[in-house]
Amino acid sequence: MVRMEANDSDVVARARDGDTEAFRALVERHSRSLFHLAYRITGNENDAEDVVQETFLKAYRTLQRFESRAGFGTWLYRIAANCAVDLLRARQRRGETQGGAPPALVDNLPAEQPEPDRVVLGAEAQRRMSAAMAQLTPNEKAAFVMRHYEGLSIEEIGRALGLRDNATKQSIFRAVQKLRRALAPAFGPAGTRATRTSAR
Amino acid sequence: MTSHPAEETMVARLLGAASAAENEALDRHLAGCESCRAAQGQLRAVLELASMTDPPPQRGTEYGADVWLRIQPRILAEARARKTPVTWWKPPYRVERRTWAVAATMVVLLMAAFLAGRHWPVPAQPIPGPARERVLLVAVGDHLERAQMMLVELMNEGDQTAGGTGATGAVDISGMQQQAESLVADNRLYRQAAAGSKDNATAAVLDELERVLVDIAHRPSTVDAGELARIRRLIESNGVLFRVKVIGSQIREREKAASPARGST
Repeated sequence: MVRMEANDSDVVARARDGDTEAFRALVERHSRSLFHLAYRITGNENDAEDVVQETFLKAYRTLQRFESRAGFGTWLYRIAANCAVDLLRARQRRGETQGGAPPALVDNLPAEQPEPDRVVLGAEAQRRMSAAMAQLTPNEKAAFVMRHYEGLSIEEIGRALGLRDNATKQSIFRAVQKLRRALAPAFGPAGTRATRTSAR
Repeated sequence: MTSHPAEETMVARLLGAASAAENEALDRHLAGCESCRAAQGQLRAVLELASMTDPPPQRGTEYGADVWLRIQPRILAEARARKTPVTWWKPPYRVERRTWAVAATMVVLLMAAFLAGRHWPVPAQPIPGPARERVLLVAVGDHLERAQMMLVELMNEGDQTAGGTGATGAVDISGMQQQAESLVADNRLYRQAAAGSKDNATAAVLDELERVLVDIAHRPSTVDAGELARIRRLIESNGVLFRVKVIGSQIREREKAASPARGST
């Protein structure tokens, strides 16, 4: 969920007037939530750190354009999401894979999952989920993360990514659909029904 | 039975993005369609699984301060760059002008006090204690801020060179040296004033700062990467930047306490 401080506006006003200590307060206040968002989208700790720093630098450079009627936290989220999406796109252009499964997850893979019903709770399923997440396009991933993990509204996500509401919904839907398909083997044969009905 | 709902509708419902009407229609359908219930169960499982993936690495409460330390040099450099073209009504420029005015006032006051003490055994008209302290705090606070910015800029210069772009190239630090020279003169005055008023903590930091400033001012105006690294070590060795920052913050606090109405000027 987005954590926005109600008393940002005064501090933002001081920062806009050139008070670097005020900007410092904003950095200290919002860094952690931005790191969470960036990590969820990039899937990589170092990338997330870069995104957080880049977000604040961009925010500082464009602070004069910040419209105070929008929440400062939301505005930062927007910048961070775009930074993360840009980073993933750059990766794709270079032919690199998106942040894959965390090493700890791979290291802890069990040899077998004895009960099918327990698959969704096992490390193998988590590995599949991480791999499936890596297959999403940057926009799909960002939209899904902002909705599912951060609880942003469709409108907020749309504003952050520069998408209309329908396009935002479609990005989220495609993300869930890709995840479901990637995980279908773990769920068994019932996965065919949703594919059939997805065509209107 | 009605036609099967689209998967988008189920996803929207599970993510809380469907309308009440859509939810109602979906509920009616699910009540009589086992395959759709199974499909929705799968989608729910996908989302639950997504929720169960490893959470992001935790960052402590000091994380924001760490981020600030990493971006501070670039932020301060940009802030400095902005000051040049800023128009007269912008606060940074106004602060700068006031700083000089206050510093000049203090120099005059101190010289007057000094001369008065030498020529007349009894001071003519003592400056009220609170007012003198306020003037001193404002001047020293601004001085420390300027010194901090110069040191940060110099450290940042070292970062850029260490990053590989200037492995063999020389770096011109003459601008920062001029600032250092200017700061040395002020620093000496403030250090003496602090010592005279028994503010030993401030005097000690100013003493340390003065040595660093003098060292920087006396180095060649063009330095190579090795020389820059030595300057950085000099700044880092005694934690002077950190101490300047701490004492600067303390002085600002004292300044606020001494003059509550200052912010309204």
